Amino acid sequence: MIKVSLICQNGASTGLVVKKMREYALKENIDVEISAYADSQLSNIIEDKDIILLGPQVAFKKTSFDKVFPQYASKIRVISTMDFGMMNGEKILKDALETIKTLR
Amino acid sequence: MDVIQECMNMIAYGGEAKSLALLAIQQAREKNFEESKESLRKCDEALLKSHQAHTNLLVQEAQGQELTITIFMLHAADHLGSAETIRALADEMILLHKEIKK
Repeated sequence: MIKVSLICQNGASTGLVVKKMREYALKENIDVEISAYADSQLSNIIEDKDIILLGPQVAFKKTSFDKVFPQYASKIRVISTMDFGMMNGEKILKDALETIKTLR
Repeated sequence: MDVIQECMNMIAYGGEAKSLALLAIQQAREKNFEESKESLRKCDEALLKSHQAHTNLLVQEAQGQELTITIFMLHAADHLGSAETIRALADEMILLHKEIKK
């Protein structure tokens, strides 16, 4: 199963986005596991996930994450501010699945 | 737009502004002052959008609509607030980096 994880400072806003993404996945019958974590937990989960999506509010941490996890840098992506703000779960999930295809 | 949507816009654009302000400071540290200036310009654009969402909520309240205060709203206000603080400090820190360069 594809595993998608969203990261923000404490999971409050990403929680809502995750809900929207799950609704879309359920509607379209996409076999995917979507979860939200705080940035401090990244080291515990990164190995297990197919893609890590950063909320725009933690986008500035991408460079430091890339340095700490150079082997996983390609699967750390930042969600577009507009999609995140509009809670466009459909677009975020579609983009994530496309990205995963290019990673494999 | 509903309250949650406005809050999400505050968080998303406030967060983008914060990220860009920090990037601008980093670029100044690496002596890329032109790039730094451009990041601050983008930061101000994002901050404006975040502010707009905040204003929309204030307008709703001023018009007499009953707004239920939630932790999520406070969380959004917190994001905007910290973005503003970091934006203001970015100017000072970039000036310091310019001083050091001399």
